[in-house]
Amino acid sequence: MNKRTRQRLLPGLILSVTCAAIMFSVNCGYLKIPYENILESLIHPNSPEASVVLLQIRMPRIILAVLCGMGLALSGCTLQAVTENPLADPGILGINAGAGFSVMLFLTFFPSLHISSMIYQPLFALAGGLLAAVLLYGFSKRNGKIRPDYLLLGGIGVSAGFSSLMLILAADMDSSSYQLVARWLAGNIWGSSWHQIHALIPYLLILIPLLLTRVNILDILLLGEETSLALGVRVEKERRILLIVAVALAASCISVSGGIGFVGLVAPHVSRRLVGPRHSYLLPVSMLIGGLFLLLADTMGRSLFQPIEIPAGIMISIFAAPYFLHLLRKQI
Amino acid sequence: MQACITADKLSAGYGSVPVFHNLNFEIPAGQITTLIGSNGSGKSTILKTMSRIIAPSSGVVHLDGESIHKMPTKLVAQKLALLPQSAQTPGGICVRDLVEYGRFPYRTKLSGMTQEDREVVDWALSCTNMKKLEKREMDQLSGGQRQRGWIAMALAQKTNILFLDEPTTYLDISHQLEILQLLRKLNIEQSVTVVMVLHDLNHAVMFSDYLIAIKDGNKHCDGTPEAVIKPETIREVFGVEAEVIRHPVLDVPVCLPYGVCG
Repeated sequence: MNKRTRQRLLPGLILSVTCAAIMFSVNCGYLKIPYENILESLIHPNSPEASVVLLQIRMPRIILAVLCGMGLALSGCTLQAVTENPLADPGILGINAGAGFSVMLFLTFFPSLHISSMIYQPLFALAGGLLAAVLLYGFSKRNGKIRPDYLLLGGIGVSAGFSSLMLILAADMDSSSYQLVARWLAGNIWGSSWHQIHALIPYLLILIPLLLTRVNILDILLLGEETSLALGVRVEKERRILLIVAVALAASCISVSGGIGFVGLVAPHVSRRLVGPRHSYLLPVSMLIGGLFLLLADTMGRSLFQPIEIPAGIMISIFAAPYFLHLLRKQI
Repeated sequence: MQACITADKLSAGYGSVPVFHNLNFEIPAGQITTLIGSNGSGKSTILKTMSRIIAPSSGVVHLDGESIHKMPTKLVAQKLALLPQSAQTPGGICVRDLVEYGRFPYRTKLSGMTQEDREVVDWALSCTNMKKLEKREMDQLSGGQRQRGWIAMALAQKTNILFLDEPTTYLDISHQLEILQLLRKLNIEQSVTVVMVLHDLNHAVMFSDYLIAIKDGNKHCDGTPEAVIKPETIREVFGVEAEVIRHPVLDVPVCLPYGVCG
């Protein structure tokens, strides 16, 4: 199959695989739901025969995994273009850690807000992610310009800094709060409900279209700063906008899914191999692959060693960390 | 001589380090102008400031009578194309994709390629003799072919002015001549004004109508190759002793350096 055919056929193909994975995932668990019942429940959710397990536990979890995977993949893809470094990812750049730290502050110091945590948690994550991004931005600015190569180094520092702050905070927490935080940090989608999806969707509905209007600019940025300027891209301004959009996407996903890394790294990479570097194909395909990956990781995590559930974030890391090392070796 | 770009008391530098100060010059329209000078003399910085990649610390660059640094940058990109030395090729990109990027200044956020865009891309590919290679990935091409691909991208901007920063660096002699002949062809057939930085003085003589010699951020002298290429100028600008003789075939000055001054 040549590249043009792949560019045309892949989105549909991935979508069908995702649908198949959803059908499979729906029945991965202790309670088996007959397939005719699934369809019936989805079409008439209010009928007495509708499966509560399906509608209230498994479906939200599946949908959340797909949405978060999509958001994280888009974020990673954008960060890779902005930093001109294919190893960038919201986890590696410290945005996850910043958001995590901020969510931890929220869980520790604002217990009164927990009731409406679905509104506040993403906002806190966003603030933390943006704080990490601002630190990063300040660090990688030289002579008034962002140096993309410093972004990655700075991110590693920011990430380490926030992680140690989180450890300090955790030392002083009561064990039930700590468990909440630890579970969140591991990148856990379990216990998710429709509330989280409602909290996440507005962000995605604003940020994803905003990103898709910038595919041409993302393409040009890969040619380097001087060529971009020569072609009429206002590089500094665009980098800033794209950085904010990428951070906001990652932070809003992380706030509901927890610290899931590597999706933003791996999904764009796999997609680049399949459809090439042009963002008009790369962004949508990365998004779909990211959604599929996280869904598969979550499904495997909860079905491999029943009744123990392995958090999706850990599953992703188990597979993606060796891939990351492989990429690193190839790049050096 | 009709000027298409003029620099008026132009100064610029990196951070607080000034590279050149109070420069005035005019780029003649429809000709090939080459900046010559030793490493670190400021030629590249001048080229970048003239093409609004670097903001000047003072002074103005006029393009069609307007200040280039105040014009909308996309509008400038429709009038002036620049091929920087530092252009990076994204992995896995094919020649045609790269050339399509040259249409960026004409595209709005959501528009795809129009019929006109496609025709211009085809034209740019055939001008540079790259039509047959359009589906090939840039990484798989030779240095000369790749440079032709970049020039095609700049041509797809459909500008009357083309700036190039050392377009022949890293190329062997036949590819160097190939690129320079292509630029001359574009200059004659499409009346593109070319402004470039070259290190090889003899290439500068053979392929330029107008030379500007830069020394320590100042314009040392300018004029036709005949007027500029003289042993005294070579000594003052490059610190090199040279004999200047006539080219037996082309009848232009040829510079034969034989040692460093002093």
